[in-house]
Amino acid sequence: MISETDLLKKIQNNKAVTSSFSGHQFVLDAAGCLYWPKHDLLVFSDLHFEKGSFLSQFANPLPRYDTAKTLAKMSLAIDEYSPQKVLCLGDSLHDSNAVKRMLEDDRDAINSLVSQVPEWFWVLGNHDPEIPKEIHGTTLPHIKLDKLLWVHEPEDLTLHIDVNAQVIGHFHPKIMVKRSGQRMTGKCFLIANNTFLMPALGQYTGGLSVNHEAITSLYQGQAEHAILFNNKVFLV
Amino acid sequence: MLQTTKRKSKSKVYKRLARVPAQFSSWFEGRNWEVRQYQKQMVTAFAQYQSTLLIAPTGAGKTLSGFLPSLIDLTQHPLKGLHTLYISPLKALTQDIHRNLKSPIDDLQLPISVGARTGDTTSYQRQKQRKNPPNILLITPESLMLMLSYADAPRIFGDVKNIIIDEAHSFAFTKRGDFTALALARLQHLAPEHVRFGLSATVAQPEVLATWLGRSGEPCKVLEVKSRTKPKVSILKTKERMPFGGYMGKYAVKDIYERIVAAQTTLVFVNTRAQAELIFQHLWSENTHVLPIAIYHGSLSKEQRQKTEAMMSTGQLRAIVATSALELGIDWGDVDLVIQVGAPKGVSRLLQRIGRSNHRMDEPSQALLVPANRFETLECQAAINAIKKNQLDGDTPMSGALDVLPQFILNCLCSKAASIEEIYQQVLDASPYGGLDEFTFQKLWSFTENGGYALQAYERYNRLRMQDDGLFEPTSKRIIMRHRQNIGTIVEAGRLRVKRLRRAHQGKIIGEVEEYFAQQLVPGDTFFFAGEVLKFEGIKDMIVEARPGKAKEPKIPSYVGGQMPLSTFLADGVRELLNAPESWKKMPLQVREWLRLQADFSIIPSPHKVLIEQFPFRQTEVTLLYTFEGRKANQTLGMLVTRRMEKMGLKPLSFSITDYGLSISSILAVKTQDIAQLFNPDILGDELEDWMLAAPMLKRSFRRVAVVSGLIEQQYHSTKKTMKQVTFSTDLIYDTLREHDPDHILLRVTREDAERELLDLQRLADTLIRFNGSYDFISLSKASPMAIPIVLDVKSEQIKGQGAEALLEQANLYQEAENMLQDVKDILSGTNDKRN
Repeated sequence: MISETDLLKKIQNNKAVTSSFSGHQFVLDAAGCLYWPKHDLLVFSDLHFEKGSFLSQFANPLPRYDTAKTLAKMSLAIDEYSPQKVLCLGDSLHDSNAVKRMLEDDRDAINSLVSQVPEWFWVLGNHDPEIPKEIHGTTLPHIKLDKLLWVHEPEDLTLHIDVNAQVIGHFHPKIMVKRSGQRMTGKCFLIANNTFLMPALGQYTGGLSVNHEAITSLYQGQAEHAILFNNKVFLV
Repeated sequence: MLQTTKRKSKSKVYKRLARVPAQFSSWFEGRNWEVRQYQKQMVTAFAQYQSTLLIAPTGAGKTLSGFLPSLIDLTQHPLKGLHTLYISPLKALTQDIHRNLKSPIDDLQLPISVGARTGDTTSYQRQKQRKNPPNILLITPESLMLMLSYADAPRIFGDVKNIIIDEAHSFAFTKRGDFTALALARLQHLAPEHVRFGLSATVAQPEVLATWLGRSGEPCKVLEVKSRTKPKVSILKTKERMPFGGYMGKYAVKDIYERIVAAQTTLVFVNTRAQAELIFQHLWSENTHVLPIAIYHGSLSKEQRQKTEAMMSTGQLRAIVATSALELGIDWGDVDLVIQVGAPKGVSRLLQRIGRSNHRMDEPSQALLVPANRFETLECQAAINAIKKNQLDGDTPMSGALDVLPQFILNCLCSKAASIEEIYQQVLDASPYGGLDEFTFQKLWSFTENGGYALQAYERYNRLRMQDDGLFEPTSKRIIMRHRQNIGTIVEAGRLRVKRLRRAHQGKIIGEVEEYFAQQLVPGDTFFFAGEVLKFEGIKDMIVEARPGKAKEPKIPSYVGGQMPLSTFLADGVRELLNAPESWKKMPLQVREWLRLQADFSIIPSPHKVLIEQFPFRQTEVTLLYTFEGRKANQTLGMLVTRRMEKMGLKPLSFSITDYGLSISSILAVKTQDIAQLFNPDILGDELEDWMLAAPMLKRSFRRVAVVSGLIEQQYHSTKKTMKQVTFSTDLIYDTLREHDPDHILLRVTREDAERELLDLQRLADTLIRFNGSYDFISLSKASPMAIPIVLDVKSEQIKGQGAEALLEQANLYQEAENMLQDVKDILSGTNDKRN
């Protein structure tokens, strides 16, 4: 668990903000991950490992350092928060052949991260309906914790008992903020009444505007956003 | 003489005729023309194997002068196969020339075949041309390069005797000029006995253009025909109120219309396509006489443009509102007035435009300049002064662009396997590359071969393979095919075609708009296009579908390609004008008032000091520097000064540039005491290089470089990628190369490309040293009269730094430090969780 002084320093430097959702307090980190102090849980979403090598099969000559980059970000966050549990909220692998294409070093790096943390959960997403056994950790369709559903794509909450809100990935939300004639764009967290959207962490992931119908139709009422900008995070 | 070493030629050796035979002179007489002196000189030059640059004003029968030697030679010694290549930067020109050549050939029944080859030529015709090349082939540089990649290129081009490069001045000193020079070097290798004829409008330094046209170290001869008259140019005098800012010139539409009514045929030149649409609309709402007025710009469909051209050449139009698309070529004869709306941007460009009127050489052209705002009046006056004094702005030749070379290397090898040394020698023969060192060439070669260190793991970058004999060839047919689809140096901003709907999804394609413009449209939005208001319905299969609409205030298509850089020469002229109040008398009263206002409210920029104004504007603080150093230097200065401001904690937000100045907006106001530190020459310090490579502008350069050098292809499987896709890939590759392979040749190429397009470090360094410590700093309560057009220029470069963070932070203010500590304690202990 991260120390008081370290967390305070992060907040003072705009490296993290706190936010409450459905009665729970979360720390939203500038790296694009979420920390839930109560359960000492660190959450990543939409890692899309091997998206670079996937696209480079189709005349997109992308360099193949994306997996390593994403892992470096995760490793840094795990060092800072030293959590009891890590949860990856789906689309961790870009496609079903991702692990086959992955460099051995990268695969070892994932497993070494998994072994650093007492409990590691892979929630499945539409891009990764299964996690090959070469990758360690526990695989699940979703997780329920304190009446919160942690799942990749949104579900009809009335079908679940004991759940009153959900935290999801999948949409890769981004936001444009206009202030004094300047425009700032970045990936973002979206905090609404009973829906919480995680930003995509993967190196090569793009974004969908929070004003897009696909996102606005997910919730009723107002939404709050935390924008990731210049390796910092701001509530807007 | 271009080439004296004798090569075994298939054709018999004969003596070329050095005079114009009677058959031809009587054809001239039959049309009431005479063979002009320089036309005779061109015939002699051809007979003596003397490559020549012909510089002549428009309307002087320039193009015919280039062809005359070929017509004569082909009549004297009929030939099967290619004799003359005519290279033109414009597709439209080749069609026009094709028509013009037909009359002497038909009239005199000459045994000469003519063909045109452009991107629009059908594949059937291409096959035919390849098998049986015509005697005279009219071609664009891109199509020429494509033909040079064929295995039978030596057979097709081996006997070429005359190569004509038309409108050479218009593209010689661009990337496309480098590309053409390389094609010429290749032709030199295939057809060593050819003569080059360059045709050009009047230029400031003919010898520089002659150097480009000739082989390395062998400039060709210059034949200059002086114009006997000077154009009559004046600035519009109007009763309307002239605006302080804005670039459209809408205020003057009534006056423009009156001039159109009074003249026989008028060409109205504007600077951007959006401006063309706007002026055209407003002219039609003034058009009480229902005069036939048309619009012409590069985004309109080919059919639409050809229709307008045809109407113009048959005299059915009274006026055309046109962009630079109409600057070159096509002769129309009876235009008697040219109106330039907006600043002229360059003297040569203005003369080219004016030259479109009155194509009879001995009568002066008439032109009217309509400045769009008061500042532009200064530029118009400076241009008129320059024309009076016979001064032209010159092009600065630069060493050849390196990103063209991988394309050229691959192109040569597609035709025939070769060694590194062989191709290197040919590259050296192209004058822009005369000074290329072998080490750089080696690096470019290995990039072409396998992508270089960081990229060589990719199969697709293994483009070349060494044969057993040590020569290189492309690794596969696929590589050759992909290369041929992507030849050229023009990196287009993504464009989408526009379909004008009649019913359902049926309709005609009427032109193209930029991808980013189309993406910001919402169904129901309206915009000006092709002279009418269209209502946007949606994008289907990469086509913008729109219906004629009736809205009054539509959005106007905006086009990236519209901005023209001001020549530094003209910028200097403006500075001189400002500092000679006695010359203000020549300018309209409104402009004089504006200058006096500036003098009262602030200061008129003086020649020996930089004026720096500081004032609040739109919730930010603006610092405006009047450098008069041109866009490039201002751009670089903008990058450097904002970096320094970032360090000083002034929180810069963005900067925008014009040719005259640099305007920076920031959260905190710049103070007198900051200036010395801000504009100190030491901002050109050590970390400059590294920092600049990280700037967004360099990423844009890299995008172009990546496409031209073949790293990324615009065309894939015959479908065009959207610019967004290309941008996504190139930005990622750029970052990766910077991190993992900082010495990669493409990064150096990018840096040099940026130097050509954006930066002007030398000029900037001189300026900083010259003005070190000498400036006038003035703090104002609001924008000065002179500042208005500059701060209203919306194109700005954003800075992702403390300033932007500060704007975002305003929302975080409630997180006061004292509350924060308790919060964090509660969160970590989990107590806060239950409180809510």
